[in-house]
Amino acid sequence: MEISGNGDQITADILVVGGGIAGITAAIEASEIGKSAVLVEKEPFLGGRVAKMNQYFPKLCPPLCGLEINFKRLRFNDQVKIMTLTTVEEVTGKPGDFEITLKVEPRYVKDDSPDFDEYVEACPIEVPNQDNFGIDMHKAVYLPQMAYPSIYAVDPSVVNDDKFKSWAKGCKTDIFDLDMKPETVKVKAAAIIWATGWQPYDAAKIDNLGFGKHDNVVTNVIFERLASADGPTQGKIQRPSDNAEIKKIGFVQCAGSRDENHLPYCSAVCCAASIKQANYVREQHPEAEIHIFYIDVRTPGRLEDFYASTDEDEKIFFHRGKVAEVREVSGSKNLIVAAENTLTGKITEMEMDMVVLATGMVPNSVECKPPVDAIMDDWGFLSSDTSSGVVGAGVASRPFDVAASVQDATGSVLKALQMMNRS
Amino acid sequence: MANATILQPDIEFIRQIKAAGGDSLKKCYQCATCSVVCNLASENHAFPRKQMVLTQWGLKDQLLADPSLWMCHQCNDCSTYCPREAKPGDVFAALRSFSFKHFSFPSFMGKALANKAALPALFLVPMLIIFAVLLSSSSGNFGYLFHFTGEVDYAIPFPHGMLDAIFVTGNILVFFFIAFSLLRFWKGLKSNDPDAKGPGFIPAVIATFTELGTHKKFNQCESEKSRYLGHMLMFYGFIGALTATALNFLFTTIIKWMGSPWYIPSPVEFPNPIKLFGIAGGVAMLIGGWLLIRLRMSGDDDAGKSDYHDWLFLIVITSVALTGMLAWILRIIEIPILAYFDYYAHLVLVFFLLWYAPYSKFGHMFYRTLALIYAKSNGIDKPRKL
Repeated sequence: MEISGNGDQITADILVVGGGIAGITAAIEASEIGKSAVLVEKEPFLGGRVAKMNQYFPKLCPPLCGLEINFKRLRFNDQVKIMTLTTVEEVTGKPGDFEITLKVEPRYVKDDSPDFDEYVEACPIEVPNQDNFGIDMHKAVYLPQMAYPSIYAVDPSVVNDDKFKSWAKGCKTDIFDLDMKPETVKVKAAAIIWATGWQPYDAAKIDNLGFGKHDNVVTNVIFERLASADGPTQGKIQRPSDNAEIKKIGFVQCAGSRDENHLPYCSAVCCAASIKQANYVREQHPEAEIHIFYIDVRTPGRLEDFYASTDEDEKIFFHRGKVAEVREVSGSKNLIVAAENTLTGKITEMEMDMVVLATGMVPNSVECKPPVDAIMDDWGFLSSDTSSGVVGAGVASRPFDVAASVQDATGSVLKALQMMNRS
Repeated sequence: MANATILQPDIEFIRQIKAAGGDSLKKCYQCATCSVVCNLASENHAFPRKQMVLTQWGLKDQLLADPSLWMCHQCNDCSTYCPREAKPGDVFAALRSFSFKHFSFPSFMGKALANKAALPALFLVPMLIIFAVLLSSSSGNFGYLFHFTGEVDYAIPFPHGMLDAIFVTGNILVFFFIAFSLLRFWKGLKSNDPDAKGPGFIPAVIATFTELGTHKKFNQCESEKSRYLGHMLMFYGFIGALTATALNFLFTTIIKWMGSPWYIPSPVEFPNPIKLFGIAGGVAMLIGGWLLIRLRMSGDDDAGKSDYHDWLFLIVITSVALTGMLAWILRIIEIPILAYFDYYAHLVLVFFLLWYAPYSKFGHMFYRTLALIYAKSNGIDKPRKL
């Protein structure tokens, strides 16, 4: 079916929720076999978590190049309607015949005026940069990476701020409209692909590993930002407490994963992610010692080579035994990590400059449940049973790495088509 | 494969440990969180991770000879932090219970104390013996036992001479049995091959008794303090009550028999220091017992699982204190019918507690003491966090 309608009534074959790598893939794959799709994303940009990564494993190439290819495929595709700053409010109807109510948040920016850049440069208000976990500040009006449409976004926290309001009024009147209201859009679609992705597990809940208590304990997702050129340190890996160079760093695997007290499942990516991050350190700080503490190194398939070659590195050490204690050395911000060496039965304590917790993935569908009776497991992952008309894609259905997410998203389109055929 | 180590798993042993409260043991995936969160684990001989895999493999002899089982004071931090809910604390408790059975002499007694079905028979023995004392003392006239008011004299139905004869003979016998069981255990301990050097035997004995006296290790439990307090009260209460009983026997019987003017007429009355000591001990045992029973009933993670050995011992020892205190009160307020019945129950319970000590959880004090002496003298017991 050709996509039809405009304004607040749209008809398409498939609604794809989530504009990350899985959602983008699903929308493109659907359109390239002659189906139409509406792709909704709650942020003002596409690319989701993948756009915030420094490098993919195991090839260690930047994710943006792959994303941009997809981005291009999307832009020249008239059978995918992309709606950012948009969330799903309500779903009625049945598989094959859904009516979905979407809420479109106000953008507050009227157009992409040629003078815009110089005004934004002058914006005096700064807010914590949520993409960098609030480590640094950025301007309240900013151009997100992979913004769609490619225009500036206003941080919602400043819209009611008087200082911001008076600055915005001083600008050319046709740039901002702070009185914009949310809009409602209705979509008719036969199937829904739920690709809402994930968020990192809250590491502060793991009370013995010191995150939130000690400055130099970070999570793997924060570390990824520290290594990224657009991150808070412009890609320089350094100690958060004093920006000092790293001489000895520890990676704590299964931090809150495979753990009945936290996430009982394996998040599937953290082993390869830590090996990847060890390589970042190796490249920036050739003298630094890197210690990875694990229960099992889970690098299936061709990732095994990635592990094996990293294991050969003379500066990267693997220790079998989970870290169950991280404490700060009094007087310095160094950290002691303690783990039992399960090969010798002795407890090892090591002093580190910095500790990275390899935390797992929590599906966003826990907080952001599909508003239909989609079948979910105990941990919020969508079941492969698609009788509800909702098909999971990417990490909404299982913990996946990027490559597997893409494959899962492609598969989700076939599932959606099968379901549409049945109904 | 010339150097292959052949493991001989004891399947029946695994089954019994699972049945005795260690049913979660196969969940362990050896991450070693437990060894690190444990406040008592030694730096060079960490536990309980290693013992978990040995139990999974059914390596009974190596495990039961491992002093680590007794360095654990069951605070259950390991079970709280265990990512797999494998509950090392419960597995250790089950292994300790198994030790009473495994090392016991004669071994049928160990089996009987571990078997619920044998409990009536175990109680029947002291009930009949004490009843025989009653029968022989009262020569057919039992009327005075059933009075609702009047003076109470326990020496009439239960003459000291006969009780002393039974308990002293019994205790000597039990002493030999314990010694025999412990010799087996010590042999097991010696089969370890510690690579560390210790301070030697005598300093280890001193260190062990200091540690037991101060309950230093119990106090290391971060998540649960009532076990420390409860056990401390029970420990000193029992010592107090036992000392009072021994002094009572000494002053009312031995010294009297020697014809010394120092003798004290029985019953020893308030406020004689011996009596005060006994009362203080009884009260401490009651409070301690109540704290420990409450903790075990709470079912919290910190409490761990309670098996048959735990309950049997805790209920019997608390009941000894309760019936002992009641015996004194009922004598003072003069209710013969209740007093005599209570005193009979008290004697049966004391018999049960002391004579079955080597095979019940009471045995833990002997096993733990010995294991700690061994571990300290060989430099194994050096907790990382103490």
